Amino acid sequence: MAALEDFYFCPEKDTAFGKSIPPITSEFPSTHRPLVDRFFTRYYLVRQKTSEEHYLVLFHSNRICMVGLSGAHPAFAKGIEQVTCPILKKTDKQSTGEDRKRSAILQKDTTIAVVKCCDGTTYNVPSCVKGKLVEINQNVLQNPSLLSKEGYGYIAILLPKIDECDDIKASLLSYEEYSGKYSK
Amino acid sequence: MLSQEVFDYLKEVGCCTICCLRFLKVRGDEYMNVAKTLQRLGLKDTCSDAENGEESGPTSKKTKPNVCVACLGFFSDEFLAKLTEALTTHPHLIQYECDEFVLAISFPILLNVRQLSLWLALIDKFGQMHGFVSNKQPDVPLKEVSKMVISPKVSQALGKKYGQNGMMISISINHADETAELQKLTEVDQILFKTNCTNNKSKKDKKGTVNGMTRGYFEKNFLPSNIDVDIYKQNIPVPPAIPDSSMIVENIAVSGPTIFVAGRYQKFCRVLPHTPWILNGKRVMADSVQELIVQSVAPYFEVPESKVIFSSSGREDVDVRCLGKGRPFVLEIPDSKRIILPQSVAENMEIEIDQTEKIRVINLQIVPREELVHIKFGEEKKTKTYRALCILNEPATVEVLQKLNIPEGFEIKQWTPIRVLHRRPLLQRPRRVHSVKARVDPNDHKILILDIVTQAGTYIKELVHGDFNRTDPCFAKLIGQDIDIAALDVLAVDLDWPKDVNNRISGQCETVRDKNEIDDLNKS
Ligand SMILES: [Zn+2]
Repeated sequence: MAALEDFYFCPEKDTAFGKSIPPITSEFPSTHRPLVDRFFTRYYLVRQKTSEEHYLVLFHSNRICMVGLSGAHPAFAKGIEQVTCPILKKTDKQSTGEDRKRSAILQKDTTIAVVKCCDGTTYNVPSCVKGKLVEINQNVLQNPSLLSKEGYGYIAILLPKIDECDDIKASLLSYEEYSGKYSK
Repeated sequence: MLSQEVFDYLKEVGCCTICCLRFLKVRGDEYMNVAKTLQRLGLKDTCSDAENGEESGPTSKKTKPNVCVACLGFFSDEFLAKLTEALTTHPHLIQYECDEFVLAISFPILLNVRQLSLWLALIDKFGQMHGFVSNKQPDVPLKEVSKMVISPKVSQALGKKYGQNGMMISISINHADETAELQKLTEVDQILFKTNCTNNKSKKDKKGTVNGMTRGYFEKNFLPSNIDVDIYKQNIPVPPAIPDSSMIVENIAVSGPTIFVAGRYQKFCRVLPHTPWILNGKRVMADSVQELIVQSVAPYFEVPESKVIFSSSGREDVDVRCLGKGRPFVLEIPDSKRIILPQSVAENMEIEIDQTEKIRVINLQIVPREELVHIKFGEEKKTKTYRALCILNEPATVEVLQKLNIPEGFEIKQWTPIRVLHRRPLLQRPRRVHSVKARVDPNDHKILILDIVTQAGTYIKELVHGDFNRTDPCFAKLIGQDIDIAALDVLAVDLDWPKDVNNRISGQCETVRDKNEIDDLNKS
């Protein structure tokens, strides 16, 4: 049987400028933050329809936006049966971003997906962000349980215009605003 | 002998010997030794003797001849002396340490007019007998003969060889009569052409020749078959008149050859972009790999840093180190003042780059253009070796490490990563992971060290964490738990180019980890 010791890492001796090159293990950051925290800022959209719907926008530092449900969305409590994407039929394209010039520009309230719950309720998921539709997440269409996993549960990727980013962020709730208002 | 008749006539109207031979359609290296060629063709230069009214002898050759009516003295010793003088005293030319040159000479259009006048004269005098007809150029072009006559002389004067990869010397030659004679030609332009030719000629207006004559326009339209020869003769002398002065060297422009300096760089810094990183018109970081290399190499070749083009065999992210033997790169240096890079100079460049303590360059050398194929093509076939520092949420088990030791490799499909999706199209690419070797940090079992050999173009960070299921399979999927990447190093770029040269001749050389060692590392 192999033991963990068999896999112990021992750095090679390497030098440059007469000094030893620090092994990669010495470079470990004192605080390693998870992927979403490192690159994204969380924004929220809460809208009042028949009930209060909560959506999450992960805004990447490169302005790519991943749009999905916030954990407080009522659909999770009801149990999600199916996610469908009506705009996929419209553009008849699995992924819309391959030819970015031709990809659709979505408005903030364009429906990007319909979430159907076990009790028969449906929710129209809004784009939340005005921007070009880059990608629809095929994984959540096939496996709706992913929706609850932050990052993995994104429904669509959008790319807003550079000079509209500030307005878009202002139109959404920041993490502080959101948690102040809606935390249990 | 018929050729002798033509030769005598050309001499009589004032052609130099070389121009006589041109109109006798003598070609190629026959111009290298004119006396020998005359002998071979059985031609006697009787005319000049008779003209001078002297007996044939060595003294007669010293008499100053007229300026040639055809080449306007271009082939004369006098002009050649002027030209070589201008070249050897040229202020920029001497800056170039380059032992080869290419010549580009531009001539006045006046030479075309003179050729036409002689052409008409020869048709009149000899006609079909000697093959002088209106639809066939009567001479071997001056440019062609210039290569045989002028280039060797320039070569001798400069002490440089004629070679296509050498520096470019552009010489503009002009003549005092150019403007006046072309003016005369422009005046008769309206009345000169036969009626059946005016249709063809109307293309002129589109060519924008309103303010004078261009070579293209002249060569296209001013042919014996197109023009009214009588009107031409009334306005322009046939045969051409003997000019008062010889050609002048109007301008000499010099540009150096494009040379290529290759090497390998190692990068030790995690806050250094590959090329200048500019966001919204502002620099994000002060330096870049490109600038640190170029600023130490460009000055020697006396080329502004902004003119140098940097390319490399792939690139790493700003926060990734490049260790091992480093990554091959090449600098394209246009208009270089030098074509050699002595090892001592290369060593100084490498040492200067060392001072940055951010990167290190080895194997700096000049490479021929043909070798650039190594760096520019076949990227898909290259393999890269990386070391990734990864973190788990729970301490690693033997099972996890066994799952991540994959000597046989595997295939993945990778969507364009989210971090570059704002500037790259969304595509799914198949990539091969050739092997993975996993080890654990003895001091912290949550930390893994993964040595990964992949096909070039694989995004490693995404291979580790999966980019939200957009790279499949990823390491997280293989072990069934989250795994993230904290740091990445490039250990090897498998391109054995450029060749190894040890520039560190004054003993400042350091050992660089041997490629074999890295290979062992990957296999074990
Ligand atoms: Zn001549």
